[in-house]
Amino acid sequence: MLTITDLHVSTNDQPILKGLSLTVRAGEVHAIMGPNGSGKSTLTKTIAGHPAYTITSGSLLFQGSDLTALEPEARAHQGIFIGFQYPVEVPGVNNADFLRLALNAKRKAQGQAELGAKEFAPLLAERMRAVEIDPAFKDRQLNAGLSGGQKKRNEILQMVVLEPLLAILDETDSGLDIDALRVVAAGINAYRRADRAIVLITHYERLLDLVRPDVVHVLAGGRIVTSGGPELAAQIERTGYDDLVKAAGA
Amino acid sequence: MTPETDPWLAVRTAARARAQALGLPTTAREDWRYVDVRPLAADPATWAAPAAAVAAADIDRHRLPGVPTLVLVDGKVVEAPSQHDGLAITPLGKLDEPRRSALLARWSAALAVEDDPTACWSIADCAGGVHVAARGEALAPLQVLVIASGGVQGCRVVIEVAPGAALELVITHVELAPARLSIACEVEVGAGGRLHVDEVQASGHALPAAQHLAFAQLTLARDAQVAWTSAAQGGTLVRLRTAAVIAGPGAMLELAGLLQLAGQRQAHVHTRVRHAAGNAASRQLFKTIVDGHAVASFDGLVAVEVGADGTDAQQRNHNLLLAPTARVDSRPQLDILADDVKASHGATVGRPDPEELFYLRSRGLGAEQALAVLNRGFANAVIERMRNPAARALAERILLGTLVG
Repeated sequence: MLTITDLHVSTNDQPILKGLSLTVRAGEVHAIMGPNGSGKSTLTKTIAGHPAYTITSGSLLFQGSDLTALEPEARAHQGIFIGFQYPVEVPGVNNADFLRLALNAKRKAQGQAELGAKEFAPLLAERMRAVEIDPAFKDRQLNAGLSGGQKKRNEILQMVVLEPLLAILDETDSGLDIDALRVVAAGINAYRRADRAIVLITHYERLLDLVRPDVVHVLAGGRIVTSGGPELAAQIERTGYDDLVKAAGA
Repeated sequence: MTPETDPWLAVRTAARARAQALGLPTTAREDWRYVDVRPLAADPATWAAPAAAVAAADIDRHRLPGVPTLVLVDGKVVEAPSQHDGLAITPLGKLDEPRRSALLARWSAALAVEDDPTACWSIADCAGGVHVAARGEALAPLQVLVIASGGVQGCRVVIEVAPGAALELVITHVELAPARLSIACEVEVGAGGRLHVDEVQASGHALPAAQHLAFAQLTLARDAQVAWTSAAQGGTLVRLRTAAVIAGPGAMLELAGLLQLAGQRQAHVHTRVRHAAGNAASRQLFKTIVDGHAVASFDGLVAVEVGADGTDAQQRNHNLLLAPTARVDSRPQLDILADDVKASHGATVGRPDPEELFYLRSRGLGAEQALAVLNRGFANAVIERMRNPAARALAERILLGTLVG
């Protein structure tokens, strides 16, 4: 589904990703772990098409097609969703109105009929129940005035409403208390499906205890330095990144 | 009738003389510093002639659903609700004594010191005018539909809210042909009275050639509450001037406005809020979205007089520049002569936040739609102050409808 080969990315003329390769197949859950500054958020923003990140070489394919020339909205229409580490506050914009606009933009791009407010309301209510979000959330402003944890849950709500094929969740677990983490993990697990893929970017094993990944990668110095099964996450939790990074010669 | 026998004609003649003596405003005058005053020099003789009669359809399509309508065409009352509980609506020409003499005396006194010729025009060019008096809890809202059919028009709307009474108005301005409308609302709110006004300049989109010169004079007695929210799309020249006097303790004045300008339009907000009594509050929030070569300004002054201790005044002006060719000037000012005062003012001019735009686009909104959503979010703090749902819907449709599909 996602094929990244020898990707080099710079921002503000600083090279951040230096030859990253990653393959994610449909049905898989991948975890990417790594020390601060290793390039995790650069990877997500590059996949999303953030204008501040420039691909200097390498390739980025989604379902076999080149993503790099696509605008951010076209990537979303194709089924890519990024749960951001720091969801942006957009004051004055109603959460439910925004979700309907976003879903309709995708439906329109896919040649489906747009949903009216009356058709959308039950769908939204059902998805909010599924991820255990207070119904009052729909009348809140888009992330403005929400706590860090509420913003992360709002990202998960957006994911289940927009139904992407590939969801990349950047530190969605940070800022969540244990109860909220369980709810978010349950939402992610419920989202797993043979035709969907999920990439979790995290610092902590605790999310991976709740959402078992198929593959765990360690990102350091702008590259994937080692990959393994869930036991790799447990090893990192015990010994940290230093030994792994050194052993990989990065 | 001649000015000798008709006191209304006499005061109009005096107003015209005062306007001529003052001359047209120039940018050398502080109050007009940011305004492109050239349109004011247009020869009144070159304006399209006003219509002899306005078609019922032209009135009907500007009625708001579910709200009784007072219709003024070219300054004259052509229709008033037959019955509106707690409300008395009287064309100025039919005002009885002693109210007529009192109003004429007030105008004469005001003219003697008026330095804004456009305010003089609101009397000089006023062929009618209306007096609206709220004597009770007139909770059902009233639409004041102000139509200019063309030419040079003046209009005076006198609003009296009796002590303890309440009034909710929706004022909509419509120009059916290129016109210059000078309109003044004189408002007195008695002790404990409440006035809520939602005002929309509703024809700017169709007729950017309109000149709209509005003046609201407000006096708030003890414990009076006034909330006035305007939305305007600009024109050849739109200027919204407000002069408010807080005359009693416990009063609360909330002024808000949204300007959304594109193309070559201009619109300017000019406010003067005078706290003459202490322990009262004023809030101002004016927001502007400017695109193209549009020009906007905010010039606001909060003056707190000696002895008006316990005043709580706030003044905010936020501007969103969508194009480098657009222009916004902001001048919030405080003049505080009392000792114990809580006063704040602030102004911002910014461009749409690229991180917000990216976030919306990453969710599938196109670049234009994302910008429209941001604009709507920016405008929301003003729009949501409109109490009347029909007025709010009208403002959203006219100002933001072109932005959000």
